[in-house]
Amino acid sequence: MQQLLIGFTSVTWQDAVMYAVGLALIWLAVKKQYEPMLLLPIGFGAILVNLPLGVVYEHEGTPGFLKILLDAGITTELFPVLIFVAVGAMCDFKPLFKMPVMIFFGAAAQFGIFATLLASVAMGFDLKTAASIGIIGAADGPTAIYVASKFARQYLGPISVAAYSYMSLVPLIQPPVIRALTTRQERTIKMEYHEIEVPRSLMVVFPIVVTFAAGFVAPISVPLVGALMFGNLIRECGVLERLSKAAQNELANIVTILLGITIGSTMRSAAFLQPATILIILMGLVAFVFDTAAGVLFAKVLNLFLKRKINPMIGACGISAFPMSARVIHKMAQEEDPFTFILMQAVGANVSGQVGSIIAGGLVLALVPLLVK
Amino acid sequence: MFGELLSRVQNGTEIQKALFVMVVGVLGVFLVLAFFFGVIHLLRRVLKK
Repeated sequence: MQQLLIGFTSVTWQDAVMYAVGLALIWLAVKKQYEPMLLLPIGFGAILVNLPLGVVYEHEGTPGFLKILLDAGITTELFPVLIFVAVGAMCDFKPLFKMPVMIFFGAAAQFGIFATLLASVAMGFDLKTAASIGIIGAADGPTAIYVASKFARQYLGPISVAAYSYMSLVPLIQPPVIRALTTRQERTIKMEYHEIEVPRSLMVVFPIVVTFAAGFVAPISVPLVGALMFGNLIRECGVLERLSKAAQNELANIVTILLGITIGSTMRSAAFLQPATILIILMGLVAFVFDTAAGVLFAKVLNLFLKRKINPMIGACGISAFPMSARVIHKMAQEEDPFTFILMQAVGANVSGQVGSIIAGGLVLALVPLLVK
Repeated sequence: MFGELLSRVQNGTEIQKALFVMVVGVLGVFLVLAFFFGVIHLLRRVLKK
């Protein structure tokens, strides 16, 4: 009889909490549409892995399908890298090529990663874990997963959930930070935009040059940068339309399903229900706030030296959450003054943020191992 | 000089290591993206011809 009821008798309160967490993620995905492609599989995976006996993960020494996926896709870093190929195929760098100067906002807004890394170390995390927490500020899910899977696999669940949740909360996180740091006058600064033709050959050469640069400057970042640029080259070369569409659709969809549910499998109650999880989620928010503030302040500093002023809200778009951040900032500008059009500049900075976040991830991957014995 | 600094930081505290990552990381991102900025400008000129 006890054997028959083992499903009921072996449930712990920690498991019940994880069911609630899983259901909350599914609710956020379905009802609020917060990053549903990732939060729903993560939420369902979190429920699956905490069901009695944990058969989907490991039972009586036999690995379940989620453990097999984890070993094959996360331990080997295969899933995040494949996602980068898909993301690269979706990336359009044209707005950046039209306004190359926007690339510096993609650099400034990465400050949050490093500031959060420092704050996390001050709070007692070791350097590798702190780096993985800081990278939530990349506002780039695959980069966060890639770095966490290398440096802090035990925290992969909370780091991924924080990264994707905050990415979807950009419309709530960025506006108050921007308003706190700017005046209405600054928010209504109008910027000129000139349409410039971008030669197609530039679109083809750029991913190749970036890959070489990454290979020489930070070889450890090549899986990240190389996969992204490979996807982008497929898109821009103009002769692989079928592959480009496959990367943007089939590859992206299949790997997203597998990645999401596999990350959910890392949220076993014993590992997830720790004080560290709450700290990680809080620090993720800090990272997003620092990113936004750094971008805005960088633009304000530039304005001290420029004749043609930059709308400082553009600086906040230097994060990787594309195109949400650009849309949020443009909407804010329109609300302040319907004649302030900064969408193209915002998109340029936002695309730069995608490049900047990967470079920042690569640098973290290159620097931290040098310092950890 | 960088090597000397690196070896000192390697023997330093966790905070010193984090500060090192922060300073070098922020500068590194700016340097790499500044390089890309130059590359884009250069390619735009060369490829336009």
